[in-house]
Amino acid sequence: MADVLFAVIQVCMVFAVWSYLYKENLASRIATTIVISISTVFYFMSNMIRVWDVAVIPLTKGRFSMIIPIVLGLLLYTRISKTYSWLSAYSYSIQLGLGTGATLTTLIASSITGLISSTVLKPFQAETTLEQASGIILLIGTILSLTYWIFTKEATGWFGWAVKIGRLFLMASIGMLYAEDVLWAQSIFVGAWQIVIRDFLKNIVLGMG
Amino acid sequence: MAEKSIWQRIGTIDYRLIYLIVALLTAIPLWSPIGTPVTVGPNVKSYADQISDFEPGTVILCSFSGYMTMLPDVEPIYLATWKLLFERDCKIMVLNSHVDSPAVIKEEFEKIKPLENYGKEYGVDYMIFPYQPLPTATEIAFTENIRSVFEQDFYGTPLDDLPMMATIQSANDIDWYFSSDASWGNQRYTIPFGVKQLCWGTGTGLLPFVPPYYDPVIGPCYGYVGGASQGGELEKYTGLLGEGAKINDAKNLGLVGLFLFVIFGNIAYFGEKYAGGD
Repeated sequence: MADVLFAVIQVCMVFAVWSYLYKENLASRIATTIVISISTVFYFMSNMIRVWDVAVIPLTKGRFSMIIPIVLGLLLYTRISKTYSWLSAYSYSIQLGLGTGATLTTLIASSITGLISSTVLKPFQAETTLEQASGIILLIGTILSLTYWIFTKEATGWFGWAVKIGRLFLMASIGMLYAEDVLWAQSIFVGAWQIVIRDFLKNIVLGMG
Repeated sequence: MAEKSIWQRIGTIDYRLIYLIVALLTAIPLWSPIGTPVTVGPNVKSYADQISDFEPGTVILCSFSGYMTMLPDVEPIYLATWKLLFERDCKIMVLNSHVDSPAVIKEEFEKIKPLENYGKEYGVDYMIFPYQPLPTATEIAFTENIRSVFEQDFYGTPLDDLPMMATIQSANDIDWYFSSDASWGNQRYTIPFGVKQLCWGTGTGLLPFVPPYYDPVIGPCYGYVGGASQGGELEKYTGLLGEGAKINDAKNLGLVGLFLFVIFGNIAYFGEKYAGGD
């Protein structure tokens, strides 16, 4: 019985949200408000419990160093007050400073020198002709794409052509990003349809599950 | 009021028609799969082959960022990977990196049934860490000393009471890291500790960014699977069939509807530009 009720609620929510695609209406507003409010409470409580477990309880057991992260966390909420919002800068600066310092130790090797060397070496390390050709195109594309960001030289003559071709490579990569986004959205849409077709129509209504 | 040209009429088709056509085309294969052909890519083969080659006792850390809304895109990958991993004699640690992840992982392991289907016991063959936000400094602390961040597992058992954790102290003891971000894994695990990476995740979050790090021979990422489409490829390659194939069918057919409207849009644009108002 609980399964049936759950499936019916799920389907109602799915159609309520989808009804927004036709035009905004009361059902879609109710559904989105329910989702947002439940998510907010869930995320807030989950994080609160974690803070309680890792900071507050150890503090009550004598780990007084935990007062530092608790205070830094609370200082973030001074953003609410115009008078005291400057106090939150301490929390942000510590977080940013730690993050930047820790990241830079390996970021350069991983995402700058590492990627440069792998791009340059790819054509020479390839095992097949196709991989070699792919590596060469990638290398040329990378160099030409970089020319797009040179603003100190006028884009005329051979340099103008380099910029134009580089722009094509950039557009191709942005197109791929967009295509992945569309595919992702399509996956989520399929997931919602599965709730309607598999979980509700097939399993509950027709008893085919 | 001037009458609209044919190009303008094509270009101003009611967008709600797109939704209707895509919805119908997506629904058909979910009702009855049509079996669109699936070609398995080299990155997916490499991902599955690397797991198949895991030696007994291999220690694996899975960064699991599964959350509810993205499940249709990644669940086929997760389920196939868990099955592959449980078929091997590995030590698996699951690191929940999203607030939803504990609920998702519990549900997935209930589907997989590691003990009944694979004889894998919690605490001996696999374990789950509780959810913990892991900003840079915290994850560095974790890699250097796991117990400095987690004293207990997801169920509140002290890590020292879990038999498999007796020999695992830091990232030095980890052989493979399953990551949803190749760059992050490279920075935190591969460069400092030499941990090898396999990548899994959503199509949009993983696929555009992982290729520069992927090399099936020298790494740092030795294989990757991203999105439901590649999840379907993984299912096909490993023979662990699940929802991935059905999702692929639905995605492929649904995209036909989108393509139609991209084509209509282009016809309208170029028609109006070059053929004029007639």
